[in-house]
Amino acid sequence: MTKITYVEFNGTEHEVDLTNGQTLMTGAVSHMVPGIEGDCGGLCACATCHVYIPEAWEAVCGTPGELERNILDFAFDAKNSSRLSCQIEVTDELEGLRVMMPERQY
Amino acid sequence: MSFIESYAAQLLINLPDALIIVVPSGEIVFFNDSASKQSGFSNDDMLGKHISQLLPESNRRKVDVVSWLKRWAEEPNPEQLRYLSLRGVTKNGDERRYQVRVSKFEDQSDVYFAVVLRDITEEQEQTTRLRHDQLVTNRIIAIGEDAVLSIDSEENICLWNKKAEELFGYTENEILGKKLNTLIPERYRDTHAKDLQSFATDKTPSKHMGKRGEIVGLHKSGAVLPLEASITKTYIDNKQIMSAQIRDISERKLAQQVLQDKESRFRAIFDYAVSAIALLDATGLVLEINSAARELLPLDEAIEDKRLWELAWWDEAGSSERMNVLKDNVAEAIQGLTVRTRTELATSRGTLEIDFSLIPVTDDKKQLIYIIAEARKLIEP
Repeated sequence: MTKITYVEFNGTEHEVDLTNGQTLMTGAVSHMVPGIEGDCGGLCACATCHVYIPEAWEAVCGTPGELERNILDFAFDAKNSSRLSCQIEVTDELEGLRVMMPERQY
Repeated sequence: MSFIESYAAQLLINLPDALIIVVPSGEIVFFNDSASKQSGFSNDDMLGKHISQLLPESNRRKVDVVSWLKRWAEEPNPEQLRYLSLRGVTKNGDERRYQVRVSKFEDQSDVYFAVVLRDITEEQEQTTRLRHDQLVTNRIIAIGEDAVLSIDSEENICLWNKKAEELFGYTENEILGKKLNTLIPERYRDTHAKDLQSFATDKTPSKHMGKRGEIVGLHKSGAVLPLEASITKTYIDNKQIMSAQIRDISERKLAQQVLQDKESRFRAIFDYAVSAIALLDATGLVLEINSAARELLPLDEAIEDKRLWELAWWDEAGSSERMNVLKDNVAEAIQGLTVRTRTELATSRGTLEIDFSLIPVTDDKKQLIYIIAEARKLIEP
């Protein structure tokens, strides 16, 4: 199990234990974390699981591929630290990760 | 223009979908009636204008509308077209969300994009509201004080909250997909299956389980748990889902047992005491009398709703003196004084000379709650 903290835009924190192999998006949805919708179910086709990854974790989380970069065009307030959480797989290396959420997904 | 061409042109104008044709620069060259109705912009407003008048760029999103329309026209991606929407504005400034379909066509060397916009604003708002409602419900189930679980039509567990985890000892990962029987001790499984089957087919949508006796569950450790449950059935695609709210009643049963034991002990003392004892409330009303006291009363004497002095014990032919003395004694006890006196009781066995006490009983706030009246027969010297 890997401990991940999701931080809502309003500051509410959700600390959850996720099974390795799932994605940050499915982890958030199954733990009733609001603010991460995952409309397309993880197909990298909707930009409703947008999160910000702190700089210190960028190397571990990796960089977005071309499709993800394109889809992030539709994300609200996308920044350099933006990622689609459906594209980040949970591994031991993510233990302690805090991901921040944008103001909205739609 | 041939008949067919003119008919086709009319068809595009009257199409029930909002259809806009743009050239690669983004300039609008066709704007049908449905597009006008949907956006409030007239054909004249929009012809020759850039598509961004209708689908404006936003400083909060990077999306470049024209390049995405071109991309989708050239490589239609059904998933993206289903889930991605474009932000639009109406003539009166309302913000809308549009689902997009786009195709490319060429006329000699000219390229055009036919764009169909479906307004999904209300649909998206409704989905957001539904999701919120679902979140609230799920959170309440998750934090609830009762265990909640659901089973599908095959009796596989498909919902499991935190309290269920505490109650039965299985985590969600361990239990989801397992049969309901995992949670039922073997010797109860047949009866439980019959009960469940009868509930599945009867007309009641919900019921409290355990009316015909206690229901039990099986903890991961093998311990048998006394339970109380309410069950409800719902259907999805004609398949039945049963959900139950379950409460561990072992503590309650233990508390009941302790209370029952205490009550039995006190009853033993009260009922088997040699002295006649009456328990009065703080106004002198008789609450209970013990067996020894009952024996001294005429058989048909009821004690309900009577003050102590109204009982037959203080009947005195032609005089109410004994009753008045007792009334005064009770008044003293109500004031908090212990009264000890010698008096006579008119009993079913004749007049008895007795030692009589009134003992006030107070709670931890020194408030009078009971008075104990005790009569002891004088032992002959």
